Amino acid sequence: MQTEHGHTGITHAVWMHRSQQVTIDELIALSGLSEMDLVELVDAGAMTPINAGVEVHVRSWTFTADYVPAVRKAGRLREELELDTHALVLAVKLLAQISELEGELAALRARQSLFGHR
Amino acid sequence: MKYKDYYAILGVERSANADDIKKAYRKLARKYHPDVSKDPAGEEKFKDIAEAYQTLKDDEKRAAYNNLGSHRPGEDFQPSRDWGQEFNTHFNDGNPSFEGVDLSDLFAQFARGHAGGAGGGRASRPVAGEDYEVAAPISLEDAFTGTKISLDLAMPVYDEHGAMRRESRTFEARIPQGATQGQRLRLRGLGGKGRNGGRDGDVFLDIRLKPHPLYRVDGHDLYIDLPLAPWEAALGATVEVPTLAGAVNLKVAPATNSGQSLRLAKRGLPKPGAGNESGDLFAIVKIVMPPNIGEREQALYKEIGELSKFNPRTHFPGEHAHAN
Repeated sequence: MQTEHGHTGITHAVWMHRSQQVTIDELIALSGLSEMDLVELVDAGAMTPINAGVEVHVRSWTFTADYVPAVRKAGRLREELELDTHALVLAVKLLAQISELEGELAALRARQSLFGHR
Repeated sequence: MKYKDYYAILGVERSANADDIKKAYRKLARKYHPDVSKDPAGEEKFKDIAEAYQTLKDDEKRAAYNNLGSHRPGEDFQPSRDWGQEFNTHFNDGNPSFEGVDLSDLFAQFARGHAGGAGGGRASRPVAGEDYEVAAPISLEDAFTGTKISLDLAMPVYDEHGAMRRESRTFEARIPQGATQGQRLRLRGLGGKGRNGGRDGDVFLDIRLKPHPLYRVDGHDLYIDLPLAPWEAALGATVEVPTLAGAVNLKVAPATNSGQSLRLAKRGLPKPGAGNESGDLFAIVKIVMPPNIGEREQALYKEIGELSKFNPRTHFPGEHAHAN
């Protein structure tokens, strides 16, 4: 885990990237979602714990940290659009699809030569 | 403090019932919520819409808001001392001072009043500090080396009565190597202070890479156009390619085509993690004709044309029959 120090005191700077991990408790604290919401999102295939398996208790789940922005967004949508769990799961899956398509579009644009088009 | 007309923001009458208010909010929230809206002004609009709804959906808050009277939107006003006394279970323990408080903070204190403020001996339960999401535009060069940025945040501070005000605080934050477009950096504990044992809030930096005149970005990989003269593409060449770590010599093989991608391994952006991994740099070949061709050059091209049996259009219908 990378650690940096801000000028106002010790600040841990951590990339929300798949190279880092967060516990289910951290996800709950950071998103405002309940454990049940996160279980629903996992059951729906919207996210996958690193250590998913029948022998692992939900309270022991860990996730790659790149889920944090998406889960925080899910928490905001739940709260601010007053979504029920089913609508939340649907919204998260659709947002993930949009994000994937935006990523593919950005990748195609990066590969496209701009020479002579500027 | 500046007056906001919460009814006008939601587009409802002052006499609207709870259902009308909820319907109006939901309609506007679906339109302007920054996580689903592409409207660049959506975030600012949604802030006002959410603030209005948070106040008007709660009977007590709505009554208190109505008691402020009607003013023009944006008009400076101060709640009367009587108003403060009337709602003194929520504000400053009966010693109201609204200096430097804005309307949203004023009504946010209702929630804290019920949840347990810092002062006044109210029941106290842990309250997490505020998280912040902040866009951090940086250059590609800064992403490559790591950098420092300055952040100005309006942080909540509480007086001895538990009353909240916002004060501007400036922080310097280090962005370590590993950044790329859309990557989030969590600065743990740099947000609002937690109360009654609640966790301190975090700051999440949303990295936005500024457009670069040479490179395009895909994750931690970079793409650059590599213009080649026709004879360089035909005969092969060694050309100098700029990278973020300085220029490198790249060997171009003979008979290189336009659009071909030449990979310079680990010359992209550094990736997060302990492995010291980096993305790659891809040079995309673009064969460029000189803008003017002199007589001697024309003669040479003509000679090549007569000498060569190459037809680049053999896949066109009927073309193979015309091949030299």
